[in-house]
Amino acid sequence: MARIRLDRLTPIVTLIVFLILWWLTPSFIKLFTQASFEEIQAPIWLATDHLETLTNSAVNKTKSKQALIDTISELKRQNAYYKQIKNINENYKAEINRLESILNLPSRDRFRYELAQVIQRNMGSWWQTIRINKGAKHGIKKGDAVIFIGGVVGRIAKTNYYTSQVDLLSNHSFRISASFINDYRPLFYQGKGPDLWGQPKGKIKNAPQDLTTDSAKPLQLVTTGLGGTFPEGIAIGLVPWLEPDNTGMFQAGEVQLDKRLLGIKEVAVLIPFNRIETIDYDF
Amino acid sequence: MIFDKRSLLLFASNALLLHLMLLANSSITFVGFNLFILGPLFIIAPLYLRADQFFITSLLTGFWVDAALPTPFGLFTFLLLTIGSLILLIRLRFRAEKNFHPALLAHIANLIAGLTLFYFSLSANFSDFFVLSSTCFIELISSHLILLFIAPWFFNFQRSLFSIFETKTEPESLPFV
Repeated sequence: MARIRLDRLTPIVTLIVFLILWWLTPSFIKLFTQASFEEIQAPIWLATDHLETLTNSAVNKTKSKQALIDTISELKRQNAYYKQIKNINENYKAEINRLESILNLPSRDRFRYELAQVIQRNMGSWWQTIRINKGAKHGIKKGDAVIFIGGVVGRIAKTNYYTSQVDLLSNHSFRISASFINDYRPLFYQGKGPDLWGQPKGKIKNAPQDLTTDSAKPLQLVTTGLGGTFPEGIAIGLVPWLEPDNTGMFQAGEVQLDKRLLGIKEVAVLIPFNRIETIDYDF
Repeated sequence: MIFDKRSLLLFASNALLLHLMLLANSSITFVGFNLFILGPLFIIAPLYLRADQFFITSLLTGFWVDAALPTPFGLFTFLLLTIGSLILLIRLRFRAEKNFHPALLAHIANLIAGLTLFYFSLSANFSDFFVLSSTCFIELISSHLILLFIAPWFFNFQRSLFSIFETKTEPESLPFV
């Protein structure tokens, strides 16, 4: 009878011992290990981002002077336009402050805007996340809202010292209270991931029965401000059709998200002035 | 235990492949899907290194991958160690110095890892089973097509690193561990 060579089983024994140790290891040690590796990787992503910026500037240097002059002229026109809008906004803000002081109302400025660059995008079937180049050092915390020019981007899922991970609004785990523009009845929005053509999608539930929409003139979905993370009226997406849901009392539908979300480069994180501390149950 | 320089080389090259994959995924978001080509990470360490060195390399690589991807922490560490241990047990049967067997193993490992991720995605969202399974299937097919080219290049690159850093270029202590 052939003898079993026990030394051959060394890898399996080691694996089993490791798994038992891993199971017995307290959560804080695992979290510490994870955070350590993430912090080690953060400078690599920042360096990659700087390298990309340098490459872009090198490419720009190859452009002709005329092209640069044209770009500058266009930027000047846009600057003049935005300066006018800024002046108008400042007048409005002064008026709001004056009325608030007369009526003794609390201030409407609930957030400060922290601009950040996207340094990594994970947008596939398995993940719908991005990584930005601002983190706990800049006051960002888990759960903070992230927006861009096209509306809602998502919510901060994890912060490191220099970087943060954002769950996109197309992520399955992203849920928010929403409403249609000029209709203040709240409904439920959830991310749905990409469709078969790779476009990010979301879905809504609990839409009122009396609402109608069509693909030629889809309804605009916006945030309600309920929950306090997102301010009211930030665009989420368009709803081209609605159908009765399985309860028969409400309607459900699919949400088309902004296509610019796929190539997103700059975002703003909304950091609340008066943050309500919540207990993190990640353990 | 004498430290094998190849452990560090393999870990560094694995981290490089992961970083390149994430960079590529970051740039092709307009197509709406990711490439998943982490199969080659599983292969050379169990084929070339001693059991203890394989364990260190896989553990470090696993932690590195888990920190970089939005997966439950420990998932890739577990997969790397499990699949690697199985390869280590039967490595006598594979010709590590050629690319055919490692590439084949890389495809199998990639498929297992992809299906594991699919399972985790599905458990988080079962209602969209058809769309999720279709997109995952498309992603896996595209990834394996790309892997046909990436895997041989990556294995040659790792062997080149062994030569450049003047380490042992043959698999360790055959026939077994």
